[in-house]
Amino acid sequence: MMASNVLKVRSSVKGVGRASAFVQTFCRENAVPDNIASQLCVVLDEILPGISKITTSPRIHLEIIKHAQSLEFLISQEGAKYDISNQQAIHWPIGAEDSRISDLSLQIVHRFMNKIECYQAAGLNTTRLIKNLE
Amino acid sequence: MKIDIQTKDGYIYVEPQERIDSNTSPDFQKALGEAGSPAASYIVNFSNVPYMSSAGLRVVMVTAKASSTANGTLILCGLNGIVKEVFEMSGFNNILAICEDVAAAEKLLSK
Repeated sequence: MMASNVLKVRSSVKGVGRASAFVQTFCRENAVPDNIASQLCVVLDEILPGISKITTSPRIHLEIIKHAQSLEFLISQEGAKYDISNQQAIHWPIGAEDSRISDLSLQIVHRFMNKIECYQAAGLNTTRLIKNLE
Repeated sequence: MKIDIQTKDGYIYVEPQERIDSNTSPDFQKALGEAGSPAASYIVNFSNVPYMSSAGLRVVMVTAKASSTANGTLILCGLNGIVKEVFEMSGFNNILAICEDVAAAEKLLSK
C-alpha cells in the first residue's frame, strides 16, 4: 500500500529542522528502517540549504511517498532552477579544504539515493529522489 | 542541542547526544569553542549521534585545525553507521585521529 505525506517549509535553517522531523515521523509511522531514515535526513540536510541559497525560493514543498519497494521524495520550489542530477564526480579523498565540502554535500546525496532527476512543471522546479528499500 | 562536556585530566571530553546537522551544528561548534582554549586537546565521542551531515564535518575540521595550530589534539571515537559512512565518504577518516572507543582514544592521547 502506498503512503504519502506533504510539508511546506520556509527556506531557512528552522525549515530544515522541521523537514528532518517530518521525515523521521513519516519513516517511523511507515516502518522504514532506521538506517534509511537517517540517510534521508542527511540527504535533506545536504540539499535544502543549497536550494535555499541558490534558488532564493522563500518556500520549499516536500512530499514523501512510500511505494512497495522504494521511497520517493519530491522537493519543489518556485525559485531558480537547481539541477543536482548530473553532479560531476570529484576525486576522493577531498582533504581538509573546507571550501570543497559543498561538493561533498552533493556527493553524499548521490551516494545515499538510488535515482535523482530534476524537472520543471506547473511553474515549479522539482527534484525527485528515489531510495530503494532493499 | 544536548551535549555532555567534561574537563578531564589533560583534555576536554565531548559527547554529543543527538543528530548533528545544519540545525544543531552551530550549538556543537559553540560548545566546543566554549569548552576549552584553542590549545586544548579533545576527545569527541560520537556513539550517541544517530547521524551527521557535512555541517557537522565542518565543525570537526574547524576544531581540529584550531587545536592542531595550538599544539593540541582532536581525537574522535565511537563512530558508527551513517556517521562513520559520512566520515569515510569525505576522506576525513584519513586525516583525523579516529579510535574505536574512549579507552583507545585516551591511550592515543597519552602517547
